[in-house]
Amino acid sequence: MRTLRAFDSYADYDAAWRSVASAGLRDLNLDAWAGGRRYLSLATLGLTVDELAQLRAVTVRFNALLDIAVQRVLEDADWWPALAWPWPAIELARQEPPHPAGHCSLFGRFDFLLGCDAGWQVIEYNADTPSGGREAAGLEPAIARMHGLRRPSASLSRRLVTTIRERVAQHPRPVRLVGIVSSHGWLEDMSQATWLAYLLRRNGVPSLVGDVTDLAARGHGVTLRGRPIDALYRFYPVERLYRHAVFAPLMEAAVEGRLLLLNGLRGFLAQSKACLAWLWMHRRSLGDRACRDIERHLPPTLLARDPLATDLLPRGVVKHVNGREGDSVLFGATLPQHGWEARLLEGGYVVQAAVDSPAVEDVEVDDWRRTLKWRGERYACVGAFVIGGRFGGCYTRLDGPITSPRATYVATLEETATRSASTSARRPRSRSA
Amino acid sequence: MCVLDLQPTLGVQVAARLADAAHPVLVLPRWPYAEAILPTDELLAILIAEASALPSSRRLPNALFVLDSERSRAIPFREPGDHRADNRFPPASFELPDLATLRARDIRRIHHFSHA
Repeated sequence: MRTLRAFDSYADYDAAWRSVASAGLRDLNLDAWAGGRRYLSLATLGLTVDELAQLRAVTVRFNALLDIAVQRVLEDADWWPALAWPWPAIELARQEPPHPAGHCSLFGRFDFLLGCDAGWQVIEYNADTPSGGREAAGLEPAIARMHGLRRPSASLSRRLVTTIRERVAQHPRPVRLVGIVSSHGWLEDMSQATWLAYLLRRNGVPSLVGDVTDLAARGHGVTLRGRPIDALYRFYPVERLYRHAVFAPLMEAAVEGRLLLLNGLRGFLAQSKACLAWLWMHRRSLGDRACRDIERHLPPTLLARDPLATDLLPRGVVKHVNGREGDSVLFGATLPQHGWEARLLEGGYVVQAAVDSPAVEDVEVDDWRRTLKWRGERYACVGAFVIGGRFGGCYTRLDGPITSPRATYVATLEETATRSASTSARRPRSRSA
Repeated sequence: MCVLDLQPTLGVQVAARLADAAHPVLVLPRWPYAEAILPTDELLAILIAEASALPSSRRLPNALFVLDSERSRAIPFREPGDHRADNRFPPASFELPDLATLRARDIRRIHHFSHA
C-alpha cells in the first residue's frame, strides 16, 4: 500500500483536481469542496494485487460473521445492555423481518487499517448509512483514467441497484414506489439520497426523495411528500428518527410487512462496535476457521466493562458502541483515570487494540498562497463496501491516527505487478501522454 | 467581511453589484425541486443572470457571504398530503470561516445585515 504521488506543482494539481471534481458532479459529488477545504484529494492510494485480493476476501468473510453476531446478540438478553439502546428499539429489531439469506444489511462498508505485519484489520462496520458510494462511482473513474490503473469499485452502482431490485422483488407485497429520505440540513446525505434515487430510477425502479419531515403515517400506510411508499431507504440516522413521531407507525408498518425497510434496525445493530466485541469474545464457539479469521483480522475488541479491558487499555482505542465519524474515539493511553471511570459508569464503550498501520502521504494544498506540499504521517482508513453479501468497492480516507470529519477522500486503485514500480512521482498517464 | 442574511434573491443581486470590491460567497444550500417549501426557480434564474456579469476574478481584500434568511421559514398547519419537499435547512456554523481563519486573513470586522 502506498501513495501514488503524481503532482509536484499547484497549477498541475489544481487543473487535474478541477477536472476530477467536475466529472464527479454526475454522481452528485457536490461536496468536493466542503467547509472551505478540499475534501477530494488526488493523493491516490495504490494497493497491490495481493492486498486487494485479501481485502475482498476479508470483507465477504466478516459480512457473514456479522450476520451471525447480529442474530446471536438479538437472542441473548445478557448482551442487550452492551448495545446502549432503549429497550423498545431492541424489541423492534427482534421483530423486524430479516432480509433473505440472513443478511443484516444490504449495503454496508467495513473500515480497515492495513497492519504493518498482520494484513487487513477490521476496525469498524458502517451500515446506517455507509457514505462513499458517490465518490467511488463518480470520482474514482476519472482518477483511475489518470493513472491508467484498475479500479476496484467498477461494479458498485450496478451491484447496488441489482441488490435493491432483488430485495424489492422478494417482498411479499408489490413495491410501487421506493421512498428515500434524508435531511436538507446535511448536504452530503441529501446528495447520497438523490444519487441513489437517480440510480434506481435510471434502472426502472420508481423512487422519490424527500426530507425526513416529509414522511407521514396515513391510515395503514406511510407517505412521503403525500405519496404512498412501499419501501424506504434512509440516509438519516436511526437514533434521530427514533425521536420523530413517525418512527412508531413506520416500524409498525415494517413489522407487519406493510412497508419494506431496506435499511432497518438490524443494520444499525450490525454497525454497533458491540457486535465486533461479541465476535472477539465468542470466536472460539464459531469453529476453527472463523476463530482463525477473527484472530487474524479483528483487533482484540472487548466491552469496556470486561475485566480484561483494563489490560488492553494502554495499547487500545476507546470507542462508544454507537459513535459516528470518530466522535467518541480516543487512545486509551491518553485517557485519564477519571475519564475511563466516567465511561465505565456511562456504559456503552468498547476497547479495541490499536492497529500499527504504515503511514502514507497526502497533499496539502494552500489555495491562498497557491502552493502544494506532500505531507507524511497520514493514515489510510480503507473502506470496503459489501453489497448483497459481495464485495462492492473501496472508499478510502486519509487523516491522522483517528479518522475524523476532516479526513480527505482519496481513490483506491489496484497496482498491477508490471505498473506498481512505475507510477510513483510521475505525472498521471493521461497528462503526459 | 460582510454577511447578508436576506431573502436570497436580494442577497445574490447585492453581492453581484459589489463583486468588484468583495468576493461573493454564496451559502445557499436550498435544494432544488419542482415542488418545494422554499422555491428555487427565481433564485436559479437570478444566479444564472448575475453570473454572466461578474467581473474577472482577482484577489480582493474583502468577502461577502450571502445566507438564506428563509431557511427556517415556519410552515404552520401543513397538510399531510402536501406534495412539496421540505427543503428548509438549519444554519451550519462550519459553512462560515472560523475565527482563526478570519484573523489569518487580517479580517477584523464583520458587518451583518438582516431583515428587521
